[in-house]
Amino acid sequence: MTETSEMNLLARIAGAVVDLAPRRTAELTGAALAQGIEPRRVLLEGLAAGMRRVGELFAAKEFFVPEVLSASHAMEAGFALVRPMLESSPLPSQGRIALGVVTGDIHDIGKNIVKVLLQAEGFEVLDLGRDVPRSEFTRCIAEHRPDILGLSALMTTTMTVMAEIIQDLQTAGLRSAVKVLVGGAPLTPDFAQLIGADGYAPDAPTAIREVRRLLFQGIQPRRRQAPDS
Amino acid sequence: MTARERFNNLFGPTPAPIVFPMVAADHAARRAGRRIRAVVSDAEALAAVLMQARELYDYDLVMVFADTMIEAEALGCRVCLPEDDNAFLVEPLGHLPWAVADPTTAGRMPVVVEATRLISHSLGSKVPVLASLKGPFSLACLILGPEEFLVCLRADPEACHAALQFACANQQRFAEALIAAGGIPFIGDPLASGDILSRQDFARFALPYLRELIAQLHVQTNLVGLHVCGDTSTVIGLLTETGADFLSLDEIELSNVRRALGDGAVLMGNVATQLIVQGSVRDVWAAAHDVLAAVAPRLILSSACDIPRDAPEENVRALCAALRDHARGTRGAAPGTPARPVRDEPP
Repeated sequence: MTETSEMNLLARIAGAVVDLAPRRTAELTGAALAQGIEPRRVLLEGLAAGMRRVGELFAAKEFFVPEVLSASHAMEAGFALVRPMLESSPLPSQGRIALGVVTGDIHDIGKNIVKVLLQAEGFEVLDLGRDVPRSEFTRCIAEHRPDILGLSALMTTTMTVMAEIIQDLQTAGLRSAVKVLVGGAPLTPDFAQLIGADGYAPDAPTAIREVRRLLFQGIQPRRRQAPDS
Repeated sequence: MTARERFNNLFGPTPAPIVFPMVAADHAARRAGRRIRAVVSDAEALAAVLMQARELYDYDLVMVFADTMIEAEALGCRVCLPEDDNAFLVEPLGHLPWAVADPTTAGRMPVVVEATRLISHSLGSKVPVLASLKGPFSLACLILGPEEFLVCLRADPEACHAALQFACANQQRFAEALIAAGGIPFIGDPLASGDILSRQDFARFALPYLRELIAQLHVQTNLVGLHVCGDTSTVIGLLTETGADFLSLDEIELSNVRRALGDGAVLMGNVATQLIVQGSVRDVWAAAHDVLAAVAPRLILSSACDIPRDAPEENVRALCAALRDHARGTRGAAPGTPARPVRDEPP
């Protein structure tokens, strides 16, 4: 198979993700693997490239939540074929991000969108799920040492848990080990600052930019107070 | 003049703004020192705390709104009702078969209907009573599960239309019971938000069912209100096609809406909810005056969305106080104006 035809096939995989077509994505992914294209290229230049484009369209308000969720299903249909072949040689990661919806809150669509967009950008995502107990966040940071902890809440009644989680990290001496990014509909930048978060994202595209800012641009955290007492 | 007369005047030749911060059961329960679950499970308790909240703040409407899960629960979705927090969906109903819920027996629908009747009986001659119900799109999301439903819009639109048609029929029956109890149907469609849906999807999946539901309700009642959460700037023109008599809007510049819809439209909103939670009394008061200046007189001065349960009482009072200032002919400072006359100081 020539390089040109390989690139065409990878572009078609990306196109199938953007077209929100899970069956076509899976068929093209299977064809690419059968023709000997490296699994990591299928993932990065096909599936993830398509999902990155979806992220761009979402940020530009050309795509909305149904499109992003449908695209993530398409990507997952292809990724199911690639995943077993990557287990022996994991991809290099841009960074490790732990994500979770805080205790008492089960609204996880926003978190799921952030997750797929981060994965498309090459980040390793530890998905803690929804309604995550406070202790689970501390345990995750201690055990897996992610670069960033992303906390999501959709309810005004649960967003205050974020402050408690940050306090838990301080108590455990882990606050300086991880940057904390908070997001969700009821949050504001002032609230994020008040509770000592390092970053705030009102929506998924901003969350991706904030992750990059926190990891790669060396911008100082937004905390008003010293992180660890 | 009673609040009901002032409300009716909004739709007549001599309108003047009225005020209603969107106080629902959770905030009212907190103000009354009651636990939320006890309040949203008992008609008398629900009616009592909502009427107490109106007395506390002295606003012009009452809204019977227990929580967002009333209809989903009545249809058989598994819902968690925490002791002192808002109800949330645990497990959606899934696909067929569905059966329209009987408002006299299903879940907590009878609680809401009876609370509407009790409040209408007690206050209805003087105070309009809004009765909250979900829009078909939001209810269909809860029936199938929000993520599955939103994916289905692309993968299986016919299945979505089936769920929407069912949700519409269910809400028609629920609304009939609320109207019979003395309520003015006030449809909330939080998931049909412009933050979630494109204009095309709103037109395809939300608008037809809102239009159908509202048309059916207009056979039985004169007025139907509609609230949509989030940014609705892309669908403003479509919202007028729903046939709703007044529109409650969340994150949008109301002055633009006024320009787009004209002076005849009755608007409700929209002091930012987060400002009411986190801002100062002066912030809320000034923001309320800005809304009044931009959108009155056909205005129900309100919060952008429901008042959160722990919103400071003084901030809710400030919103109501702004309307009274306006009625007296005083007004808050325009944005950027550093000082106000002493008589305009917030409460």
